[in-house]
Amino acid sequence: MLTFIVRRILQTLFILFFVSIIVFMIMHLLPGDPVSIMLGDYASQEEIENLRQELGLDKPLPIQYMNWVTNVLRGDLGNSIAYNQSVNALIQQRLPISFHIGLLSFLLAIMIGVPAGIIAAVKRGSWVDSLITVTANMGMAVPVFWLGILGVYLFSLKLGWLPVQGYTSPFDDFWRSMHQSIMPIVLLSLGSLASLARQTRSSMLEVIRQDYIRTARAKGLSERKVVLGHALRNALIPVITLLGMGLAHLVGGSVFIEQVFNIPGMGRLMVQSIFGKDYIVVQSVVLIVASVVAFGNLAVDIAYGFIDPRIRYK
Amino acid sequence: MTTESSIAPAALHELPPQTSSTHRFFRVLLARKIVVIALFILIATILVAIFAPLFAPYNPYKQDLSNSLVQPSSTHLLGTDMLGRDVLSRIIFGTRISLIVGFVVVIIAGVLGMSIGLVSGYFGGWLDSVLMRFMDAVIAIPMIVLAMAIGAVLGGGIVNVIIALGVAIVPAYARLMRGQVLSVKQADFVIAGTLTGISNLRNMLVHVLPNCISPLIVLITMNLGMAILAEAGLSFLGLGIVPPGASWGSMVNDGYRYLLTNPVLSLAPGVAIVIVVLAFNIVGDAIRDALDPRLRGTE
Repeated sequence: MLTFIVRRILQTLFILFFVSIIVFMIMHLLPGDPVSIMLGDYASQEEIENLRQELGLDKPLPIQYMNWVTNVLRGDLGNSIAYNQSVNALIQQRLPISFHIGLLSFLLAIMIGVPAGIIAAVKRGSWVDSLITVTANMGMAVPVFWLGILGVYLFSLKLGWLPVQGYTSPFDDFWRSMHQSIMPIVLLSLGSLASLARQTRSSMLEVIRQDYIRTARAKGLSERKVVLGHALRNALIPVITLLGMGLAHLVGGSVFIEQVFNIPGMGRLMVQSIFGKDYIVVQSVVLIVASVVAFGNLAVDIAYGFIDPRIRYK
Repeated sequence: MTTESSIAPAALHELPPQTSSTHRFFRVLLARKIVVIALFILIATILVAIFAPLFAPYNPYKQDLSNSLVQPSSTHLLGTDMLGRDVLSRIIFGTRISLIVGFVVVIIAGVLGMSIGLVSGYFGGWLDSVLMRFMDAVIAIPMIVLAMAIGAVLGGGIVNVIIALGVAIVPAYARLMRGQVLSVKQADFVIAGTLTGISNLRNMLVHVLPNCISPLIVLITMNLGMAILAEAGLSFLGLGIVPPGASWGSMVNDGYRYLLTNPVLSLAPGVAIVIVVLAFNIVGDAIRDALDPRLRGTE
């Protein structure tokens, strides 16, 4: 088990190394000069050269990369030009907000999506199954930003139940925070919830066909014991691996939810920085987001190793 | 493809007469009403996109400020936007952008990803490790975030959107292709190919590739809906199709400000997105089921 964990940690670090190369390549190799874009059309040649030197962009690419990575490893992401403060400070403000909304959405998706998938599989062919399958299909086809707008239209403008937008930390004012964040959390979870329900359903159907389930039934176990004791445990294994991908999907969706509801999280920071031509912030956000996803996957895999001994020896 | 070969010759004459696989494919595919409806919607959407000028009642780009934000009526079925452009006409022309982006993204990602997967799986070794870790890294960056970053540097516009989304979904194809290659590589006919002394490239293209096609078709259909959603998303954020282009995503965003007075502006293009993406997903699922060898003979 220990070697498995160590190997997975090394693998994650390796992936993050490649992520840093990709982020660096996007920002430095693609056509388009970040410095002249940052300074606008009317900057003089001298201003451009000064900023270039300040950012170290006049050095060869491998050295630039080394400098950047060394600074990042030391915990220094650089400075934001638009916000006039360190990127570290910006991220410290924004990341907890995204975590608050994202984590609760993730939990909600698991708590509702997995049971919904089990029920659909057990009651295969019934109206409950049809209802869950159709809803899940819809949930995967609806753009989350449009869902947000629809929610605002129904619950804020028409019914007046919930605020149109805004964010308050739950530590400052818990009830106000709940009131503001309930709609973003629920809407953000729907896409992942739908795909989890579908995966659980098809995984359950696969397992129910297996011989050991027939054996369990034949030896006279109650249906409840067969489903929850024998089928579920095995059916959840592929679902757990896909949780990691669900995490990436959820992080992507949060960009839109934060935009619609004006929540000052990482997604909104990224959008604002792209429009503000604040490339240092953009590359930092991509790096942080990818790290969160990679470590999330690592946690999922290690949990998976505990549940399913077969995986440790692969 | 694998089930036929596993049947022992002696058992063959005891089986009922085999229908052709194409025939079986279409029979399974069209067995459910919902799939037929979805296919019909897709064909209709493609026709609307091709003949958009014939279907659209107005020029989608023509501004008429004296007629801005008109409510839906018999002259403007879905009303007009803040610049007085007919919303229905813009939605009709929007099918073009959605479908072009969807198809081209999938083709680019498919060709690129399959090449990487083919090379990686066929040659193995350190090349395989490096390529696959690279793909893992791309997957670790959420698709929309990666596309945003690429789009930020390249700028907006349909070509850049296609590049950004295409790159972001390459790993799915590379991984699938690699997995397929690894499972086919040990087959006798591939080894025989190597022994006859044909080149690696020829062996890959002639013997390995055709055996990996069916799961790829499934992935392609599934990704079409996803690419359309992602384009709408980028355009919604203002990082995709540039004005005055009619993208459903940017129409949703433009209409958001007028949600209280003119909800149709934002909600109608969203309905268009949902219908088309849902149709692609349903057809994708149905193709997967129809191609799944384990489900053969169950109908």
